[in-house]
Amino acid sequence: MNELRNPIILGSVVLYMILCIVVGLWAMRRTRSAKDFFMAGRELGIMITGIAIFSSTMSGFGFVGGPGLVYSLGMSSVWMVITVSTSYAAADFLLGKRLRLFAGAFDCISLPDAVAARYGSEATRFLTAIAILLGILGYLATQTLAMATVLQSILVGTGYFPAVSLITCVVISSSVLVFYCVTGGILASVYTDMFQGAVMVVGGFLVFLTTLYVFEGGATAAVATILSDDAEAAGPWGTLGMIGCLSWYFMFTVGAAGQPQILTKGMMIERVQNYRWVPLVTVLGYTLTALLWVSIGLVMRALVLAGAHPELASADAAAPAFLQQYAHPVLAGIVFAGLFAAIMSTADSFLNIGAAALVHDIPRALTGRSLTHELFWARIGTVAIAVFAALFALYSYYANARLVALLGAFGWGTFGAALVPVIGIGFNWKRATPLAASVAITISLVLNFTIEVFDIRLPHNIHGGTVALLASMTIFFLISFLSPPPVLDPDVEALMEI
Amino acid sequence: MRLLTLLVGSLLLVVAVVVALLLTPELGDVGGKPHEQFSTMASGGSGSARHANVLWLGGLFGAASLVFFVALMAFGARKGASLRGLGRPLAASLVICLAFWVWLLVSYARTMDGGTVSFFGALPGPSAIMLYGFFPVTILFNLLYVIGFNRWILTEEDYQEYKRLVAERRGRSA
Repeated sequence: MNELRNPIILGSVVLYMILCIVVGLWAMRRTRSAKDFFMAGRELGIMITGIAIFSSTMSGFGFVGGPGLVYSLGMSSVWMVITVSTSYAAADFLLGKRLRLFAGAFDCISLPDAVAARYGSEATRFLTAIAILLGILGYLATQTLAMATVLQSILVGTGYFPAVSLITCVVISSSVLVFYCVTGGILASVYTDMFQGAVMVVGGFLVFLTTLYVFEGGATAAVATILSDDAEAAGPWGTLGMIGCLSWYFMFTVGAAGQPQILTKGMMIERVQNYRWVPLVTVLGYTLTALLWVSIGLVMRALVLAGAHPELASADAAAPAFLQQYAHPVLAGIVFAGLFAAIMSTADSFLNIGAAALVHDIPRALTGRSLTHELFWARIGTVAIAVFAALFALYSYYANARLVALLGAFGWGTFGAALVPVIGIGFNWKRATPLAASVAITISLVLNFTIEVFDIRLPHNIHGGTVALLASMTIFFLISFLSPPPVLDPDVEALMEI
Repeated sequence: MRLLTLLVGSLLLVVAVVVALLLTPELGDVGGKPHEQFSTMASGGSGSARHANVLWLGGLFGAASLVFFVALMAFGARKGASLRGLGRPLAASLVICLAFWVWLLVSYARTMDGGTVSFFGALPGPSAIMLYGFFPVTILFNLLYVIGFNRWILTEEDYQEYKRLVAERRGRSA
């Protein structure tokens, strides 16, 4: 069976891609308007909303970067994983119901649409759309590069395509992604998310079971090996240290209420009352998937320390090395398909959200009206963003490797710092003003970019995104308190009373 | 108004703690150091050396963050009625989380000097408390959302009011 490992992996990935294309074709027939394209007609059920939320949160980073972080830093990144409960709870309490109410009442088809309705300000809509576009650029380029790198390693591994280039792999993987996103819009995206989420959960859980038996003596012996080499690595803060971990915990929890890929999905649910059950699906799905993140990292670190496996070329090689060496070929096939699923389910959400910002919100903010033939332009916008992200990814890969890493690394922090005050707080507090919202977005972008571009390391490894988030929230409250109370649209006021 | 005070107060407390941490000198290998044998790994070094002057400030950071998270949740609940029904379960869940948080801190403080470590569920004591204790109790907040949705998030009356508002808007724009 082992000699069939690479063909099985390739077959699983090809099958998965064909399925994405089929879903795209199916969804195309149900996408007749911009509302369908961006909001899935606001007709999603509980399961599909819940799975779409968690699968778009768990990107390729969770399947590759996560195990790599545990391998290199020990338990530190587990603090990112365990935010799943508090982050979704905070986002659900603050916005789960409220955004859906706004979407229904004002017929919003994007997050900046809801922001414009809440604040009655096109400037705030414009800044929100810009923050979203800046945030997704890095995310998309990272995902594009990750898709292509994984596809290249699979194709080379089979031996059939020993010289396949990264550019070819970018073209193949991006074409599949763009095809189903352009034809079926967000409807194709959420239905592929459903399938992708299922693959991720099954893969994550089975890999976790496998890791229990890979190390001689079991999981306890593996962790004991890590502990005897370096007690801190096996301790609750890992090698990063306590304050760094807590700053991640804060940023990932509070920042969830500013992630457009999460919030937009909540606006698509058919009945607002159904949102009640969504947290069960998201928390359970994410937790099961994240088992892979923690278990592979710990086992690979223990195997290398014990001399049972050669040192990895890089920390990010932890998951691929585990799958190639220790997982059953069929399981490896499922997980590699799951890896593509994790990457694509995040990328498709961002493509759709970016297209909405580009062809719906920015024109509305600048001209006061929507484009004619908005569905046509939405499709063009999706292709344009995907092509731009692919070119950006390739340029940075060959010319400036730091660019994508830079933008990809601060995506969550950018969205969190820019949008949590404006949306998370602002949709629940009538006293919040458009001026405060605009200043908070601007300050957060400037702070995040400054910290990342100049590679500023804060004392005790406090994450720059945490500082930007705290600063933008404080400024948001301060300016709102100092400004005259805003005069709200009576309907907005009524919605905020609910 | 009291809820807003709690929210802004807990935010300012977190800000104050983070500022205090930024001003606290770093000791030892705060963010870890390269592993002596394997270049792709980091190691933490001595826990007591690097955490000695920030352990309890870090404890306060964690506790203040939890209070802020809960204040955010309460802030997002329905506005039309008293929070009496939600306040108690939210506060009780917060107290349980804080208890596990303190347990985790105390357990870590006892072992960071290299004391004997007991294992539970394949993990050393402090990590086991984090993963099998602290994390599961925070799921209480998700359960509260699910269980109390019809009372604290959206009541039937709220929904009827919403439907009326939407119908009125559509009537106006028609």
